[in-house]
Amino acid sequence: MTSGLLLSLSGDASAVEQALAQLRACPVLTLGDRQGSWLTAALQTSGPEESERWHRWMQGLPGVGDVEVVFVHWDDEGDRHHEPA
Amino acid sequence: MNLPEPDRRDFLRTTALSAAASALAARVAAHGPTPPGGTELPIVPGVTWDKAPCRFCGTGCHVQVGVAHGKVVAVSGDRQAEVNKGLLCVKGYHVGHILYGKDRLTTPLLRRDGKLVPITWDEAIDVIAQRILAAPDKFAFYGSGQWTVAEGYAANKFIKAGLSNNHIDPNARLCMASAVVGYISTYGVDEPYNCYDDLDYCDVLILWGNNFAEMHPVLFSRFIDRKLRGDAITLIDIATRWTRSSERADHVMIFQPHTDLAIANCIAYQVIEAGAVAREFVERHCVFRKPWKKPDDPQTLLGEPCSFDEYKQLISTYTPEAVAQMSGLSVEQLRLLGRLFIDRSKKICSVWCMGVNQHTQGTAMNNLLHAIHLLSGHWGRPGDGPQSLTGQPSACGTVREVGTLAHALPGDLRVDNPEHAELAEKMWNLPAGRINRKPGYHTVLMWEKFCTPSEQGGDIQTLWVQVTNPGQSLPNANKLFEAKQRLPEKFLIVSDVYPTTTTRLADLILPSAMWVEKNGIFGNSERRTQQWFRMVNPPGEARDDCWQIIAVARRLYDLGYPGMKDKDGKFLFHMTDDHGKEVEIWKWDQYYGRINVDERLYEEYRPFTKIKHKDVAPYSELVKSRGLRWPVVQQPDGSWKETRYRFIEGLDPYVSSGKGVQFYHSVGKDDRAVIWFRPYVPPPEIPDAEYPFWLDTGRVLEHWHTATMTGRVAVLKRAMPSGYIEMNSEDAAELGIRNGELVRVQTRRGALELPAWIDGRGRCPRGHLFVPFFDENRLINRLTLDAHCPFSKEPDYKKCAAKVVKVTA
Repeated sequence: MTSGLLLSLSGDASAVEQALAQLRACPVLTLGDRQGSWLTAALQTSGPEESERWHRWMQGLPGVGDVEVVFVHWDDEGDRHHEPA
Repeated sequence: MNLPEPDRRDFLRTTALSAAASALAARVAAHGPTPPGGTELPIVPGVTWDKAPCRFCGTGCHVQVGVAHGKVVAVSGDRQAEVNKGLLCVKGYHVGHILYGKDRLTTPLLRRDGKLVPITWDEAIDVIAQRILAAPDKFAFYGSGQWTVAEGYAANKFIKAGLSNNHIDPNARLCMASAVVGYISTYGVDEPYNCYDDLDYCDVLILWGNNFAEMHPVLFSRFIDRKLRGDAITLIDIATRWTRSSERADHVMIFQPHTDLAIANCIAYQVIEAGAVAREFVERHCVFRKPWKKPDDPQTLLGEPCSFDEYKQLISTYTPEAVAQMSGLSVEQLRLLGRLFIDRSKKICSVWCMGVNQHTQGTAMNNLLHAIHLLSGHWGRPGDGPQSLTGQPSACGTVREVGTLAHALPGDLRVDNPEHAELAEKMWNLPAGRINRKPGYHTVLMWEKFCTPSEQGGDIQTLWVQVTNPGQSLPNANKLFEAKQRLPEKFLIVSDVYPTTTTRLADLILPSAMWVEKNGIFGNSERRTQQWFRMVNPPGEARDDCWQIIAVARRLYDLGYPGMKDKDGKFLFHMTDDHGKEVEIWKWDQYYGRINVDERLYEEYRPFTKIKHKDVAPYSELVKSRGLRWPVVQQPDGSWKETRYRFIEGLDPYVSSGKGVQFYHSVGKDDRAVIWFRPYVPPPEIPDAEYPFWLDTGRVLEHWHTATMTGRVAVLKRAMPSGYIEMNSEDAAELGIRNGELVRVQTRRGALELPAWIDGRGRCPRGHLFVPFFDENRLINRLTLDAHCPFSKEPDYKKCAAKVVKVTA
């Protein structure tokens, strides 16, 4: 599963720098352009559950204000159907 | 194009980064209508893209839907969409998955000897037609703000022009009917005068009982994004519990349930006290009214006129000191609100949704929010005004504009207005008198009549539900839904995409197509009409809801039912191709063929919208756009122009020259809006010694309403798997309840066991409980109250009295 993300960075400069260091070290994340307090990224995981875990991890980092999703492709999950509620 | 796996992953990564870069460009150019560059679609091998509004809430975000091999495989925020500018929330992110739950309904099912057995569509259509023929006046349709415009229009015409009984009402009665009546009784015509642009221009955003962060996350982030950029803007959260919206607020004001009326009146008091009434605006453009209160008369919506001096006298008891005692807000908090409205230099945007609408004084509270803005002059500038939000994707488009309410006709007309009914008969080419002048049953009454034995006055025998799940969403559900189990003579038909709490009691289940499995049109909260085309086929025998209605109508026509003919004897849904030859759209194999039925129904409906200057755009313009806000009026050069702000000269084409502001459908036919005095009225049920808590219900970020769709998305289900009860930590400690322990919550209508969540995502004040309603295994609406607003008939899901005990093994 591949997602395009737009992160809003917030907080003091050191928090933002620490967040950037952790994001750069994340094995499933590729960082893209940064303009001001915004940063683009691509997240590639084995499926939605893993994506959700990483999403929450990013959201919880000091220095990260918001993580918004702008693109998602899941064709690589095959024909798996979802469980009923 | 087939790429080796490593190259493919690289390609998708680049595509994802490119999509994010385009969204970033849109953010940087936040006030621009279209992001510079990068509006092109992501290029993914084998994937074709087309636009559609998101299936979930009333925000109206546009997505690009990627299809490969007949399946939806990708979703991208639509960068050309003004509403969301390329962004999506966590639900929109997963919207494509809602099509592919493994328990999709794929064949019609009829209950025989207690068991559901597959039948053919032909048999199903016949069963419905025979039920109607047996008692057409005892048939009702319960629809939805998730109906597309064409579906709602077809259902409305079927009931009002065909069966002449007006027993049609939507689930939107449960969520925004109070906003409708609030607009009509204030401005004379429904729906906001303003739009989401206010979020980009306001200095202060006030949330009135509205968890904006979780319910409309893309709009919330549109505002919060300005804060992150350093704009000096203020967020005020006036709420009964702490939520995710509170976390971002500059001021959180937790008030005692139901006292929002007093708080609004207190703002009006302070504006008058400070001499800050926008005198020129009010004198030119407003009148005052008060409730008509005579001892033997029921409260009426009309009320009676009053002078400013009389209004001032009525409001004089709502001093900050008195309202602080009632509301639980401090005098300083009330003074802060007062100062904001007194200061004309700041632009204030008030938004609200269920907290105000689901209220036994819902209409009154809507009136008061308009009143404080009109009185103080915080009205009319971009960023400065009151605006209600909706929870469903077409609550505005299908319910309010198409008029699928029991009293309404398309275009804001009413069945009980003889001129309106005659006009509709003319437009539908019906014999005079075909439209019944008596409103049908509103939602609560409809279900009460269905769930009451026939011999005791329960005169609804057959009820057809489409695109909604009333078994889970109706209030006081033991009375209004579960009672059906004991009434074998009653017949429930349910069209849906998945098994639900409602299909559990259905006698006939019809499998429906959903979202991009059909053509559609939605109308969002800001008067924006949005169109999409069918992109994939529905599974099995699932078919469009609109086709189902037309097929039943045709069967009735073939069986000789006179209501299904117009005055020339033609079928009510008669359609011809370009050569004038009738298209048999009641046959599924011809429904998607020579003509676009959605377009035909929409274009038939469109003239109604001109009557009250709500001109929706031609279908062909909708195809080209990401939605257009009505009134959409053709320009001298032939182009079509939408309207961001109504009633304001220069912005609204229907305001007469020189008027400045003109409420051209005003209540008093005097071009003036009404500033209502609405007193605080106590709620019908309050905590007492036996039931000492307030019980509040609502939604959560991960699930959309009753979770029939989001519950099929594994990641959303795992993120929020089951219902819970939020409790205050001190209350829990007093009762010996710890986090995660099972508690029993009880009201006068029922009881339910749930795990406690103490000071979790939401935080309740003392004496307050909150339970979300998404969990079909924990039906909180069996406990809620069916008391409703006397005008809008919208029930109050936000407060009733309850008690809680710890469940011991």
